[in-house]
Amino acid sequence: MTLLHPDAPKAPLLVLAVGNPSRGDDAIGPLLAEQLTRWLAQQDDATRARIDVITDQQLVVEHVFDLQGRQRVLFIDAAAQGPAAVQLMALQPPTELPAVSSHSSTPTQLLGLHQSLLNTPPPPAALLTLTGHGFELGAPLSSQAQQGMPLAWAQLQAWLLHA
Amino acid sequence: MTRPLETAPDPSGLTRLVIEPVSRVEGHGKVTLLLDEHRRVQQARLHIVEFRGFERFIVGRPYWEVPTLVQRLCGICPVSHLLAASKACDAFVIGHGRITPTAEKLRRLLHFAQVLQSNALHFFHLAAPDLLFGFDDAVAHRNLAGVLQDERELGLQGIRIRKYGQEVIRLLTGKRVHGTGSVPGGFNKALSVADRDLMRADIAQIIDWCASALTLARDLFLAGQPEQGAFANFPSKFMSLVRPDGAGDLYDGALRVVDAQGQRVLDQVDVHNYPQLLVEEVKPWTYMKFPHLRAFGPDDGWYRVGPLARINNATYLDTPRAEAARQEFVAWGSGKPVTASLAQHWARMIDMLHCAESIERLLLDPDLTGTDLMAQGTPLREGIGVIEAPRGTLIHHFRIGEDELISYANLIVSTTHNNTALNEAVRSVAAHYFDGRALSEGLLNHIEVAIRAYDPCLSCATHAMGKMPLRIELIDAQGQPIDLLIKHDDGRIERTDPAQLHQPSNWP
Repeated sequence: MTLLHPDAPKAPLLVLAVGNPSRGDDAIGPLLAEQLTRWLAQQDDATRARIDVITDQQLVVEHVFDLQGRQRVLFIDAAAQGPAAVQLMALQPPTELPAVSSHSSTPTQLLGLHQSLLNTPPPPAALLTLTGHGFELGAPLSSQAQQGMPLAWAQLQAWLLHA
Repeated sequence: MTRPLETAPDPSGLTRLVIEPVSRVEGHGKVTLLLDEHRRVQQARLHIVEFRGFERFIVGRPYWEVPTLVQRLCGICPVSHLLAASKACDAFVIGHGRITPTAEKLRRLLHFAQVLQSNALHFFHLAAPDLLFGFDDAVAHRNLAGVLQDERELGLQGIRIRKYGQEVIRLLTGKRVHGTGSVPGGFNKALSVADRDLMRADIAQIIDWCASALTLARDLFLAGQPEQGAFANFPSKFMSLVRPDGAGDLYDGALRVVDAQGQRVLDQVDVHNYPQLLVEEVKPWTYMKFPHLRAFGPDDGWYRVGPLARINNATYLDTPRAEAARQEFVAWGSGKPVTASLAQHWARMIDMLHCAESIERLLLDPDLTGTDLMAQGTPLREGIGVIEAPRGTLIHHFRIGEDELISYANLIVSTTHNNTALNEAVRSVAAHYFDGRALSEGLLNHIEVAIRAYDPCLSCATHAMGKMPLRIELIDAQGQPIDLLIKHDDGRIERTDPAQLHQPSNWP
C-alpha cells in the first residue's frame, strides 16, 4: 500500500460535503457532514464501515479518486438559488468529456472525469442541496438555512437508507 | 502615482474595452482597456471588483484560533496561510525563541507538500493547455480536459503529484484541507514511523515525474522562442526569502531584492522590518493594494514575487537536481534575472522539483518522527510570520491585547505583491496584440495567458470566490456599447447584443 496506490477497502457509500464554514450559508455542507459524523459515532461498526464522509472547501479534479470504487455517492452543497429549499436529485454523467477548471469542479464534471480518466462508469450519484441566503465572510448561518437543516438531514438519512 | 497606460491623460472621448472577469484564475477580476480615437490602447487596468475583509474577520479572535481560521481564506493554498499565521503567532507563545527541530521539520515537510501540489496544479491544469496547444487553440479544448484527452499520461501525472501532496498534508494535519498540525509554538501531532514510511514509498516516483515536468516546461519555453521570451517581458525587481548564505528557502529566512540587472539592491532584510521596507499604496479604482519598496518609491519600487523571483534571486538551491536546473535557467538568462513572464512556468517546475527532493531528504531525517513538538518562551504581543507561498512571499502580521484576542491584523498575500506586475503584464500584451479593430478571442486568450503566468489567487487577494464567465465589452467614444464577447465557464464563446451592456459600477 502507498499513498498513490491505497489498497485499503473503501466504504461503499461516500458523502462528499462542500463549502466554507466561515462564509455564512456556505457552511451548510460542512455542518451536515459534521452532523453525519456525530451520528456515525453512535452507530455500530458495520454501519460505520459502510459510510465515508469527506468535507472540502470546493470540489477539485482529484476528488475523482474518492469516487472510485464506491457503490453510491452523495454530494452535499449549498445552493445559491433553487425552486425548493431542499432538493435531492440524481446526477447523470455528461455524455462528452467535460471542460473542467483547475480550481473548482462540479459534481457532474467529476462524474464525467471518472469515466474519461479511469475508464469506468462513475458510481450512481446524487446531489443534496439546501438553498443559502448569505455567503459573506464571517456571517452566521441564516435563519432560513437553519430552518431547512432538519429537512436536509432527513433527506440525507433517506439517501443513506436507500437500498 | 500612476504608470504609463495605467491612467490616460484625458479619459473623456476614449473607447473602453472591458474583459470581465478573468477565467481560470482563482477568484474574480476583470480587465478594462480604454482606446483613443485611433483605437490604440491608452489605458489598461486589472480590476479587483470585490472587497477583501479578511483582516476584519480575524480581529477579535483568540490568537490560537487564527492559524486554523485563516485557512478558510482559500481552498487552494490553505496550508500557506496556516504556516504563515503559525509563524506569526509563535511570538505569542515563545517570544523570540525558536520552535523545536522536530516541529520545524514537520512544518517544512507540510510546506513542501503544499507548494508541490500547488505548483502541479498550476502547471498541469492551467499552464500546460496554453503551452501544449498554443494560445489560439479552441477554448473548449485548451483546458485540463484537453490535456487528458491528448496527453493522458501527462495529465494523470499532474493529478497524481497533486494527490501525493494532498495525502502528505492529510497525514500531517489529519485532513487534506483545514487540518491543524501546525500551532502557535510548534506542532501538535507527531508523525508516526508508519505514516512516514507511507510517504517514502512514492517519493522517488514523484521526483521523477517532477523532473519530467521540468524538462517539458523548459523545452516548451525554449521551443517557443523568440515569441515566448518576448511575451509580457518587462524589467522589474524581484523579492524572495533567502538564507544567510543566499540559498533559496521557502519556509524561513530574510528578504532579498534583486533588480532587473541582477544587482542585489536590498539583502538580508529582517522580515520583522517589512513595515519599514514596504509601502502598501491604495488606488481608487481597485480594492487590491499596490505594495512597493519604500526606498525606491512607487514608480521604481514595485517588484515581482513567486517562482521566477525565487529562482532569479537564489544564490543556490540546496537539492542537487533542482540546483542543476537553476544553473541551466541562469545560464539561459546570461546570468541576469530572467524577466519573461512565461519563464514563470519553467521556474515553477524547478521550484516543484526542489520541493520533491526536499521532501525526500526530510523523510530520511530521524528528527522528523521525534516527539518534542512544543517550545516554551516569554510571550510577546506582536508577531510577524513570512513564508514563500506557492505564488510568492506571504506576510502575516498580528498584535494581541491583554485578553489574548487579536487587536491588529495585516496580511500581504502573494498576488497583492504582484499587483503592479500583473497590470504591467496586461498593459504589455494589450499594447502589443490589440489590432485596433474589434474584440477577438485571440486578444482575450493572450491577456488571460499573461495573467495566468502569475497564477493570481484573487480569493486570497480579495474575498471573491468562485469563477464566472469572461466578458469583453467594447464601448465607443460616445459611451455607446458596440460589441460584446462572453466566454462562458464551459468554454463557449458568445457574441451578444451589445444593448445588454451596462457601465461597470466601479469605473472611476
